[in-house]
This record gives sequence, structure tokens and C-alpha cells, in this order.
Amino acid sequence: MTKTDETRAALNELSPDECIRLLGDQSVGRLAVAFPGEPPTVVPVNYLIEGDVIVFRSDLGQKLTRLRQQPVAFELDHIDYVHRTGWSVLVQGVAYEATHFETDHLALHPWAEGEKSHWVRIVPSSITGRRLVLPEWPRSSRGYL
Amino acid sequence: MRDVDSHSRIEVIHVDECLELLRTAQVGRLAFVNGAASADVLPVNYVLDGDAVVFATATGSKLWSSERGSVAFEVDATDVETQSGWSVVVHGLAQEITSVDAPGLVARLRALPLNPWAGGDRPHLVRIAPRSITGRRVGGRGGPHDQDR
Repeated sequence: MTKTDETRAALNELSPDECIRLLGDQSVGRLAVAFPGEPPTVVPVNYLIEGDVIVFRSDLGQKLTRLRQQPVAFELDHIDYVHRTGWSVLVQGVAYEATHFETDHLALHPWAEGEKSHWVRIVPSSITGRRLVLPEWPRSSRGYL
Repeated sequence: MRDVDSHSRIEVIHVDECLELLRTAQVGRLAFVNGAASADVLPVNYVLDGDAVVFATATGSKLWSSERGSVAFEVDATDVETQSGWSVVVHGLAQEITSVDAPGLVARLRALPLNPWAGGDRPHLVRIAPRSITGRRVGGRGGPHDQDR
């Protein structure tokens, strides 16, 4: 059963369509991967979204050059410090190494280019988002009111 | 002394500078392993207690299954225009601090300029004792193959 807009608004939740729109507006997100027995690896990546598939190409280091059928999370957020609001989007999905057939038409240049850059596609299984309600900022860095 | 990989232009940030960068920011992301063996990521307002990260959440340690969760805490800043940015990741154990803990610790943490107390429920105070603090910086696309500069 899908939620009504009223229900979502009350829970500060974003609809999947709103999340995809936000993903389309941004170009940097964070890949988070949980390898067994370790705390999650979190790294910002420069990405594109094609439909609802997230594509990125980055020199991510030894651990992340082979993401084959690995469950991954992809997070995006924006904080407005002036208005003390924000939003965050979290995609859960599976990462696949992409073939050049799938990526040739994309214009995506990672900010950090290394010899071992790999194309990765994240196919989402869930896309959720919410508005962040931030506390009052302290008036001075030394205390709070 | 800076460690820059000449090909990828990724600079390793040493731990002292990582801590300085952590002190400049106010929001970071808690990442923990969820019940489906994937990572959940949650932006939170935080402060440092020495080299430990302190933040508050509505649900506290219920977020991770065991009392002390092995988590990551990530802070970054990126500039799309200049294609540059830095990212610092703290790996450590997250523990909810309650009144059962040492009063000195509780008092010190509550005196930190972290202000979720205003408004509503008492949040759960969480402290990450770091096991490792690492950072990377990417400075731009300079290089022989870059046509734009």
C-alpha cells in the first residue's frame, strides 16, 4: 500500500519520485558498503543517474574495484545552515560492474582519475528520503541556549 | 609534507589535519550495518570530544544490534565548480552514553555545544571512540589529459 502525500508529510518523508528528482539535481553522493566484519566504507563519488540507476566511475581503491553483486547504499543530503533545514536520500541496491556498452554514452569524468577506474551501476531495491529537522544552532561555539 | 598520488591526484590527509577538518564542520554521516547486512547512513549534527565524535539520535543504540556498534562516521566538503573536495572517515565503536556511565563523562559531554536538547524528547547521546581516522582530498583535474585548463 502506498502512502498518501499527507502521511508522508507528517513523517517528513519524501516520495521515491521526489528522491529521484533530487538525485538528478546533484552530482556528488556517498557510496557506503558493508563488508563482513568491518565498519562500513563510506566514500564520496561523482555520479550520474539514468532512470533510477546510479552510475559512477571512480578510483575507489583496492576494496571497491570489484563490486560484484554487492549490496550497497548510496546517500545524498543537503543541509541549509541558514534555515536549519535539509533533506537526505538513501538508496539501497546492488552494485554491478558496468560494461562499456552500458556506459559509453555517458559523459562522466570522476574527479579523481586513476588507472584502475571502474564503472559501477547501482540498481536500486529501495529509494527513501526524508526532510531533516535540525536543532537550533548554538548562539556561540562555547555554549548553547 | 603532503602525500599526493601523482596520477589520481588523491592526497592523503594526515590525522592531525583530519581532526582540524572535523572541528570545522557541524554535520556528518553515521554509517552502520543494518539487519540486511547493508549500510544505513544517517546525517547528524555532531561535535568532537577530544578525538571522539559525539552526536544524539532519537533512537540511540537501537540503530545497531549490539551495545557497542562498529560504525563509520563520515564528513566531507565538495566543490562541484572546482571539482575538489575532502572526506574524513572515522571508524570506531559507537556507544550510547547514559546516566549509568561515569558522571564526569556525562557532565562533560552535556556541556559540549551540541544542542538537540531544545525541544521535545530527550535524545540518546552517542559517542564514537575512534579506532582510525583517515582522510582524502581531491584537488581538481589537472594533468596532461585535461583539456579545460
